[in-house]
Amino acid sequence: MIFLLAGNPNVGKSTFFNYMTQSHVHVGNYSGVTVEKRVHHIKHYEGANFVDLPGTYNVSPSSEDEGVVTYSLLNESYNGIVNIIDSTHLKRNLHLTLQLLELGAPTMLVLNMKDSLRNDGYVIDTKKLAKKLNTNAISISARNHDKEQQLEIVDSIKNMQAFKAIELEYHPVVKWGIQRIHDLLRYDTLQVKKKWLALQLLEGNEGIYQFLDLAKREKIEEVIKEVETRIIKEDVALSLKGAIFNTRRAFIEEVVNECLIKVEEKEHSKYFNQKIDRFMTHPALGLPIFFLVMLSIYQVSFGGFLGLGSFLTGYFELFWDEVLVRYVGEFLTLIDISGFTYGLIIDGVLAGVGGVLVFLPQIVVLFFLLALLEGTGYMARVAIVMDRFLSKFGFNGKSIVPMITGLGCTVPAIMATRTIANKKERLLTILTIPFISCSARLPIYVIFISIFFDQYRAFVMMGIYLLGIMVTLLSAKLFSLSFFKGAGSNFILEMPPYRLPQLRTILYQAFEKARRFVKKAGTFILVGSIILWLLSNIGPGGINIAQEDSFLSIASSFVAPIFTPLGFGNWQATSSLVSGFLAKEVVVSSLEILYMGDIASGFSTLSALTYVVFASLYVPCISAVATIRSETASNKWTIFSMVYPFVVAYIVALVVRLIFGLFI
Amino acid sequence: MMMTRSGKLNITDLEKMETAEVISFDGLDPVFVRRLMDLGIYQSARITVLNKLSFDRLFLLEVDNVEICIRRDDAEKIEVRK
Repeated sequence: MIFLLAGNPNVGKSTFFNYMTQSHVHVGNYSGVTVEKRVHHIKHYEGANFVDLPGTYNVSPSSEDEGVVTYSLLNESYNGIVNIIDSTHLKRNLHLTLQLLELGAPTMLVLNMKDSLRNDGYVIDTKKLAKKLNTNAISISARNHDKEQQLEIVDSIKNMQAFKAIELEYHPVVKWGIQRIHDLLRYDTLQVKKKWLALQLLEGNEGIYQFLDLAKREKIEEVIKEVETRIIKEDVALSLKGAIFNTRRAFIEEVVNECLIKVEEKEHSKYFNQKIDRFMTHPALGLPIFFLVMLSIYQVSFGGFLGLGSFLTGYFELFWDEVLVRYVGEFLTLIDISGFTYGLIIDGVLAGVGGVLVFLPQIVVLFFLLALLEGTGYMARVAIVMDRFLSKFGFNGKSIVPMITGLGCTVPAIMATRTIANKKERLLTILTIPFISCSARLPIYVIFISIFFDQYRAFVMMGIYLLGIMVTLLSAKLFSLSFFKGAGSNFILEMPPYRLPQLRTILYQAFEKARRFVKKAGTFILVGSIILWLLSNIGPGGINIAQEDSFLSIASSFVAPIFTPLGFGNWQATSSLVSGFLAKEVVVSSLEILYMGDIASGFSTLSALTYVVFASLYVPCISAVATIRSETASNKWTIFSMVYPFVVAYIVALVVRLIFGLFI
Repeated sequence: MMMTRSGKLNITDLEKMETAEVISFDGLDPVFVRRLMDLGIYQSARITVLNKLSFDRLFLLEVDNVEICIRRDDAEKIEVRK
């Protein structure tokens, strides 16, 4: 059994999904958090699965993430649709509901946020609503994690009835159009009702054409044009979409008037809380507040004072070196293993994997704090504050969402750009977002900062991050003046209420990050460390040779001179950067292995700085490049996404060397 | 009260906390109009200007208990009637 989970953005769909399944998908208090569809088993319902679709206001897409919904409805086999509705915004939510009900598939409405609605002084007459809309409905609060409610929901899903598709009284001209298109589709075999397809086509759902043959498209477009002209000429509405929208709106108005019952007089509290938001979005104070918030997050994660992250990492490191490595070493000696194999395990595997794994506590702390921030609804205020600034660079305030995601990992950040409707603006964001420092690059900074710039930890860290952001912005500016002229688009942002984030959800998000990090350490980094150690310990002269005679050293020495102007033109630094293409964490593993734990010996303060700068900006990792390829579907832009960062990193590092060379 | 050249009113002509009815969307990208409609800013909707932010560059509107923020450039193209 498969049930599609559909609903508007930011209505608690992911919260519901997590609550009803055993999974924990990322929850954030703004639109567009779910960009891929996810499948998971429903609790207490053997053999049934939920497919979590991205949030959408309409079946017909207005940005790429919403296209997934049309595609799933038309193409996937499913047993029913579960429509999650934000009860506090019933009117707006019902537009999608009507489109789903017009489809005639078995559907159940889940009226979420029952408690918030009651707090506003209202309740929904669920039975009446179900009857009016000719469907199944249940009122819930997905934030209450009780089992009883879960069982109740499962029960309603099991008893979901199939009803006849709802039919609204559209304007005669629209009806005429539906009939004409319906006639054109007469001989096609499609899994959904043709009348529904016709209506969707009239609404401008371009996603449907890919399921029809090309010759029909022209004829259908002629019909649509004719209907549109008549709608405007006869003054029915401003546009065809408007005419369809108005009919639905009138119907919804009627339904809501009957089913939404006021039980208590309450002053509607504004989401945009005048008092707090006067500061948060203040034209002058907003930006400093944002920086202070971010600086304190970095301080707690990486700093010394109040530095929870560094504190934990310190103990982790102590455990790793003094306990694990020591006893494994002693054990190996005991069972008489030495030389090559001993080196592989201690100096290869344990040094390489350990070098990265010690950063786990800091990364968990960082992501716990970022998830906390996201959950409150503050990011929407940041989007307001940043819009003026970001629009100057060809972005808009909303680009802040992929940017913040990019602090975690570039891959989901690139996918999060799907919510950007404007194609040029989206490509621009995809190509510039890899400059935002992802968490995989963090270990590189931490290692070098702790060796060379220990007194100024939080500041150097913040500086590197700001450099990444600056390069992102300036590249965007450059692109918007050249390749993507006129990319400036509209900005529209819904203001979410401030919500108290759920500790449970945030803990799971931090835990999930930790799990992925450990998994990466156990796979990519483990394999990378082994290969690297082997390559640096085997050479034309066999095994047990000096590292300088190894295959790796010989191969890297060809490339190394490129980096001489930057101050790190040796084979170790070069190999670490090349292997970093696999995953940025491998950079640190490589350095640990190739310098045999003594990175300080390989760099001067100045070359350490240029190395960090170069490593923070150069070619995105292989997973990011693969994502760019699949999202842009263009070889040209994929190659560009590798060459451009290399050039930029080189130039910036060179400039840094020239400037700081005067002081250091 | 400031009037636009044609004598028509748009959102930017409204004072803080003033309410008006949307009449038309002239010169806005249809995709954007669709998004506005999705969020509740449709022809005949009653909108209230809750606040002007970021040196009057952004307009915070309320419609059907939803709070929406748009740029001045776009707000100028939404014609209203008091």
